[in-house]
Amino acid sequence: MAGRSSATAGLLGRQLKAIQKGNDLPGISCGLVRDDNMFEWEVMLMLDDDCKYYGGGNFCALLKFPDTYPMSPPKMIFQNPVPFHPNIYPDGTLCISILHPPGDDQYGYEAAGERWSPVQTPETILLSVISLLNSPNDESPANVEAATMFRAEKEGKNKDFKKRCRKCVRESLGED
Amino acid sequence: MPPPNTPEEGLPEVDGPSRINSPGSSNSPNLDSTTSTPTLNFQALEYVDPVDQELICPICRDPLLDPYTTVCEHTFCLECICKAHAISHDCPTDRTPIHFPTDITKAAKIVRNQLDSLRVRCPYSTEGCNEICSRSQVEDHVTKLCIFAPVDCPDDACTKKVCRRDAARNECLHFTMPCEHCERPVECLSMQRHIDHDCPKSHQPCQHCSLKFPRSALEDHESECDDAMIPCDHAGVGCSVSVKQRELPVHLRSCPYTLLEKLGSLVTEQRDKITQLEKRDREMERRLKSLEFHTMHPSCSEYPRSRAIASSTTADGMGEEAALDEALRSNASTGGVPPPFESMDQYLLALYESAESKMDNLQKSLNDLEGRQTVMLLNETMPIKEQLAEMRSNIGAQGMHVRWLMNLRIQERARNAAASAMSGMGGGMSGLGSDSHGDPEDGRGFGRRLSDSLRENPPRL
Ligand SMILES: [Zn+2]
Ligand SMILES: [Zn+2]
Ligand SMILES: [Zn+2]
Ligand SMILES: [Zn+2]
Ligand SMILES: [Zn+2]
Ligand SMILES: [Zn+2]
Ligand SMILES: [Zn+2]
Repeated sequence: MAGRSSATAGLLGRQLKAIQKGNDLPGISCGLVRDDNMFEWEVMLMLDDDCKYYGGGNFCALLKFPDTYPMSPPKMIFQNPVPFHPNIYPDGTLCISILHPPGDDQYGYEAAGERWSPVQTPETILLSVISLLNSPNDESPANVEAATMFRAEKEGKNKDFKKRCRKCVRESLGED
Repeated sequence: MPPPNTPEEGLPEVDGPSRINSPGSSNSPNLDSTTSTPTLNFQALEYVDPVDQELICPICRDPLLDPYTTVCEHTFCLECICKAHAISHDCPTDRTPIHFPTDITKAAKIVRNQLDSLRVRCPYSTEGCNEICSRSQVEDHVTKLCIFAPVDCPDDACTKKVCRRDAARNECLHFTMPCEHCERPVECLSMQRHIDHDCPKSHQPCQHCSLKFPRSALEDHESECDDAMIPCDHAGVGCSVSVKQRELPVHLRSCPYTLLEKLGSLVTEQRDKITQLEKRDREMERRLKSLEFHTMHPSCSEYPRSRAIASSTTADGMGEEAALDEALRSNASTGGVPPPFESMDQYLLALYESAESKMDNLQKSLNDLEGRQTVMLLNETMPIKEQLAEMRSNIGAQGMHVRWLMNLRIQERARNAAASAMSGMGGGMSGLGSDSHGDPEDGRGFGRRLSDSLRENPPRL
């Protein structure tokens, strides 16, 4: 197992370096939680103002890679303050189809084409995350309250969802 | 506690993951067959050159290893696609359903060849091997040749590994002995490493600062020791000061050559220009001398030459040059003027130069003359030509007049002849015979003959 892990660690190290060197992910910075553990990344997401609900927010998340990466997907867990979002569990775990293994039938409504595949990279994951923050998916709610409020706001009933999101953004900036 | 850096620890992943048994894997190199030869972990290879993106496996992001292509024409390492297939039966790139073993085939020969020729470093480069070879040859190198690769200890009783170079001594070196410097027990095999890197007693003093360092680090330290004497940075432009490395910044602040260094390129440029000017100056001086000589002794301009020719013809065996020399000397002694030329060569050169300039002048005036001649010729011939053309046209006009007059005359004659014939007929037939009689008017004889011919072929009017 040690040999396999070291190959995976090498792959992750190269992918981390590529992200840190490249400019393909504006507003995102990645680093290791601990220098001796290549399998746990810390990701800072500085969302730009185009993002309707979370623009201006600074959110922090952990990317946890399994030993079997890239055969199995990593997990992404937002740290406090967790964004109030239909697809993020209150404990911070992100629910996004690209991080679901293809064999898993628990999410039957998802097209297999959106699921994890070993050719995915941290970069493609983070791009999907940004897109999910821009347009939440209310069909598979991880946070039922957020999903209900989001749907109500989409139907023009009130602006409660946006208010909750802005509060989150202010918290993320340490203002509340 | 084993001493650090024993050979076992230094080995980079000797026991790679055993290969997955899958279709086609019989073609992949079987590295686990014998225990005595070192095995090679292809995934840990270090590639010397950047590898083309097309040759990178989309799963492990390393250069493809034993590449296989799917029915949807995506290529992966055999190991990678097998692992992915164990989780999902879809192509990782485009999710086309894939069934083993029918839906994957060995990648194209050209791809395999390209991969085989990628240059890699020997995996034992950290042990000291500098070998760089193609990926297809690295296995041979490690299993048969590399003297740094670990092999079983030659002593059958010993289960430890030893690098191939040490194994050649054919004895087990896995025993400990005290270090000659620090007297600590060290395994015989790693004694050299201990002395070079770790032994606290074998440290050598730096020749500049007398601090002690392990032998392996001494050279590095000495090259950058603060106490080492180094020449000033501006030695190139003339500073001869040598200072200790640490004092260099202090010296540089006060070094008078700093300014010069900045002007360095300017200085060299000017130096070049000066040498050029000096050369030209010498030439000018010589010319000046020659001119001076000519102006002060206008009669002498021919003197040395004529004398030289005369003496060379008279004095046998005496070379022309010697004669010229003599001429120069005599000239100097008689005139009291310093000799205009420092040597015979210079005099000849001056003569040559003046001849050349005269030649140039001649050439120029010749060209001038030629030009003038051409212009003159043109000037003179042009009116003649014009006159000729005029005369030709005049002649043509006159010829036309003549022809017109002649025609007029002929017609007139013909009419006259016709009229006289009519009158002859009116005068009776007697007139018929009058023709054979001689015509009383001589001048009309020619006209008669003409009219005869006209009568034979009368003009139709
Ligand atoms: Zn691969
Ligand atoms: Zn495919
Ligand atoms: Zn080698
Ligand atoms: Zn031994
Ligand atoms: Zn020692
Ligand atoms: Zn020193
Ligand atoms: Zn100096």
